[in-house]
Amino acid sequence: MSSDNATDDDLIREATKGALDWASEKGKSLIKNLAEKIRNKDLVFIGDRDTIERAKQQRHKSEFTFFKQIITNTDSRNLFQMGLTLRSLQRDNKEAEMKNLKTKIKNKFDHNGLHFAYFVQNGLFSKYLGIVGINEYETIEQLRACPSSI
Amino acid sequence: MVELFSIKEIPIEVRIELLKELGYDSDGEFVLKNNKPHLDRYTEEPVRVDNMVILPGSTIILDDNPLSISSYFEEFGDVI
Repeated sequence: MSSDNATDDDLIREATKGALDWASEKGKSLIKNLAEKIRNKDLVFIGDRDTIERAKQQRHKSEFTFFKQIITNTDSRNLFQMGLTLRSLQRDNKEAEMKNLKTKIKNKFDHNGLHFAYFVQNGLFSKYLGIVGINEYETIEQLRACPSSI
Repeated sequence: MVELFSIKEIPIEVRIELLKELGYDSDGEFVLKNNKPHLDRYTEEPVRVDNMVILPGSTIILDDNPLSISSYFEEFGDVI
């Protein structure tokens, strides 16, 4: 089925349908080409597309867009996104994924990190910002300089 | 334009050949680097061949989970 003019894309699609023998010269050549494309940042192998899309969605939410202006710490930003992700998984009734993610958060950030993620998941963080009086700060820089209020 | 393919559609033995081509290896279950389990850059847990992703940025091989993927985006931006 594969022709000499087939592109790598064609060959991958063919291969995933079981029509290409990976042990053949053509298969070996394709693997080398794939590795080269990966090194050149032209090709990415993803797993679950939902994981990628869900991660992107959280990064574009207004809550995160606001939060990242205040907090420059990478771990805090990641935890904030994990809180939003937990909320998203909860909304979609993805119990197993939620449990798995909670374990990963706890392993990486300990219980304090997990509690912070819950704080975001439940929407309490945004409410808290309102309660502490975000309008008391003239600029983002002033708010950023006052971490005890966040 | 970066092309996205699902690694789930690639047979395990082919994934291992691809890993070897990229300077990694596998014992059939885990991704290996220098004969030791390759750890996810963000969770610091061993990456399994059946749940790995290969992302741009000096060929980053991660576990496919929300924490690692989000951390990757946080470090490298929305590159894919």
